[in-house]
Amino acid sequence: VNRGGLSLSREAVGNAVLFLLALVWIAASAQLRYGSLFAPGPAFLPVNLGVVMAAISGAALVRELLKAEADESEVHEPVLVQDEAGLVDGVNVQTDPDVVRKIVVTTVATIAFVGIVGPLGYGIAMTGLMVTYFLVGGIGILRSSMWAIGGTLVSWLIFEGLLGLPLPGRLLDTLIPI
Amino acid sequence: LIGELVGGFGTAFSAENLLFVFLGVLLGTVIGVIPGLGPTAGIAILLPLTFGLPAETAIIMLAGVFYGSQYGGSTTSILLNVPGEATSVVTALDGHEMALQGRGGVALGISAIGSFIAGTLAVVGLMVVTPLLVEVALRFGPHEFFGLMFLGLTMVAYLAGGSLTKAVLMGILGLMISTIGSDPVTGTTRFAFGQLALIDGVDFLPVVTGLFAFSEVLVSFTGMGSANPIKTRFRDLWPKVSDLRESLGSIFRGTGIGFVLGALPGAGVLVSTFLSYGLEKRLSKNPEKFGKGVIQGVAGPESANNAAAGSALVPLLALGIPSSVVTALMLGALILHGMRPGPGLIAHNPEFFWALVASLYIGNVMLLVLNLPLVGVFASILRVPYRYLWPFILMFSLVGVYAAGQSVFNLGIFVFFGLLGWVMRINDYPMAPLVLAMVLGPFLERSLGQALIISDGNFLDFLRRPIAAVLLVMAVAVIVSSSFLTRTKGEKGEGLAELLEEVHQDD
Repeated sequence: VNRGGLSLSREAVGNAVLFLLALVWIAASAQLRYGSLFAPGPAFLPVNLGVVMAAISGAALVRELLKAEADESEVHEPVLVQDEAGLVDGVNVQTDPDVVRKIVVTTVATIAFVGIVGPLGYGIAMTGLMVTYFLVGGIGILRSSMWAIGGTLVSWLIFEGLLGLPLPGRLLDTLIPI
Repeated sequence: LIGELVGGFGTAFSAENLLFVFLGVLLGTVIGVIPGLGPTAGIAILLPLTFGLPAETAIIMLAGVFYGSQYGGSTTSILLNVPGEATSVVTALDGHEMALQGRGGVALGISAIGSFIAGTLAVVGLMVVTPLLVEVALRFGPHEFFGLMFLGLTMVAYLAGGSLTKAVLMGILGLMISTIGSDPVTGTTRFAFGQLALIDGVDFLPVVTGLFAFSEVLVSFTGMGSANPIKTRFRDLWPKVSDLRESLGSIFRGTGIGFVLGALPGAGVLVSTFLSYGLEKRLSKNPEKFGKGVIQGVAGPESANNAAAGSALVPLLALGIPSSVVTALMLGALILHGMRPGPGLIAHNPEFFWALVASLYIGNVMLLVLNLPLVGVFASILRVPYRYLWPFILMFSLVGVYAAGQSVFNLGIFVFFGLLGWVMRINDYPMAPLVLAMVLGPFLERSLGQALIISDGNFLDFLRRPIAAVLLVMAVAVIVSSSFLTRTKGEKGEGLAELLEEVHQDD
C-alpha cells in the first residue's frame, strides 16, 4: 500500500487490522465482569486473548514498519518478484479484470441471495443465484437457466424431500404467485 | 475385544450403515479426485447431509469421506500430475512418471493395494490403542484437560506451514470467535450484540464451509479449466508379482510412519507422506531413480497417508482432541449429533466406537472393490469443466448451512467467513489454526475455569499434578521447537514446496 510517501507492506496492513481488532475486542470485553484468578468471570479469557493478540500483532507491526523504513533507505526503485502466474506472495497482481469481475459478481450475488431468500423463498432465490453463477462461468443464458432450475430442484428434493430439512418458503409456495 | 468387535460388525452390517459407508467412500473418492476440493471442504459440504442420521451412521459416513478422499487424490496425481489434495503431492512425483511410461495402471493398482493394507492395519492399531488411551484419560481432571487442550492448541505451530506469527494470530482469532455466546462457566452471554442467533455462539458449519468452500471457489477463479487424464485399462491395474515384491516393504514402512504421525496432533497425514518418500529414497539402492517412475515412491506415501487417516481418529475418539482440520470437523460433527467428545465418549458409548471400527474395515474393502474397476469413471470426473462444478459446490454449501441451523443469519456468517478466508488465503494466513482453536476453545475455557476454581486461582497447581505438568511442558517444548525451526529456516517460505525440494534433492 503506497499513499503519498507512506509505504506499508501487506504484512503491516494485516498486523494493523489484527491490532485494531484486538483493541476493539478488549473494549467490548470491558463491559463484562473480569473476575479474578480465584473465580474467573466471563471477560477473563476474552480480555487475555485480546491482550496477547494486541501484543503479538503490535510487535509484528512495529517490526514490519522498521523493516520498511530500512528497505526504503536502501532500495530506490520498487522491485516486484513475480512467478509465472503473475503472483507476488500468492496474490494476483496482474488484476485481471475478468477475475475481478467474477469475484465481485459472485460475492454480490451471494450476498443478495442471503437478503432475498427469506422473502422470496428458496426456489426463486436459488434459481436466480445459480443462473448468475453459471453466467459468471461463461455459460449461455439458456443452458444456465436449465442447469439452475435442475440444480435447485435436485437440492430441494434432497434436503426437503429426502432429509426432511425445511428450506425457506416451500418451492410451490414461491411459484404460486407467478 | 473380539466380542465387542463382533458386536460392532453387527451394527455396521445394518443396511443403513452399509449404504452410508458406501456413500462415504464413493463421495470421498470423487471429492479427492476434484483438485482443490479436499477432504476438509468435502466434509464441510457433506456434513448437512448427515443430519437426521444416527450419530454413528453420520460419523461412519464422514470417516468414509475422509479416507476415500485420500485414495481419490492419488488418481489425479498419477494420471494427471494434478494432486486432488495436498497429501497426494508426493504420489505425483513417481506416479505420474509411471503413467507417462505406460505403467499408470500399475501405479493406481499398487496405490489401491497399499491403501487397503495400510488402512486395515491402521484400524487394527486404532482398535488396540484407543481403549488403552481412554483408560488413562478417564483419570483426567480439569487441570489435565486444560494441559491436553493447551497442547492441542500449541500444535497450531506445526499446522502453520509458513509464518509462526500468523499461525499464532489465527489461533488466537479462533479462540476469540469461540468466546462469542454463553460463557461455559457462568452462563453469561458475551459479544452477541443483540443477535439472538449469537447467544449460543457462532455455529461451526457456516464458518468452515465459508472458510473452505466459498473461499476456495473465489481463489479458483484465477485458473479455471478441465483436464485430460492419461487413459488406463482395467487389466493394466493389476501389478505383477515383481511389482508387489518390490512394494511390500514400502507399504509396511509407510503404514508405520503414517500411523505414528497421523496420531500426533499437527504433524498428521501430510508430513507422513513426505517422510515416507524420503525414507524410501534413503533406503533404495538406486535413489537416483526416484522421481523417474519408481514404484516404491508411490507405494510408501500412499500407504502412509491412508494409515495416517486411520490413526488421526485415535486422539479424536480417545481424548476428544482433533489432530487436524479434518478431524476437527469430525469433532464438530460429533457435537452437532449430540455426542460429548472426550474419554467418556467411548466409555459411555462403546457400541458407537465398535460400530465405527467395524465400518472402517468394511469401508477399506469397499474402497478397494470400488476403486479398481471404477478408476476410469473417477478420472473422467476431471473432464467436467470446473465452471459447471463450482456453482453446485456453492449451492450445496448454502443450502447445507441453511438446513443445518434453519437460519438465514448463518448464511450471512457463511459469506463473511468466505470473504475472510479468501483474504487470509491470498495473504498467506493459515486457516487450520483458526478452525482448530475455534473447536477446542470452549473445552479449554471450561477446563481452565474449573481448574482455577478448584485450586483457588493457584496456577502452580497445574505443575503439582504430574500429568498436567508433563502436558504443559510438552506444550512449551512444541512452542520453543517450532519457534526454533521457524528461525532456522526463515520466517517465510519453508512450506511444503521447500520440503518437497529437500526430499527431491536429498542424498
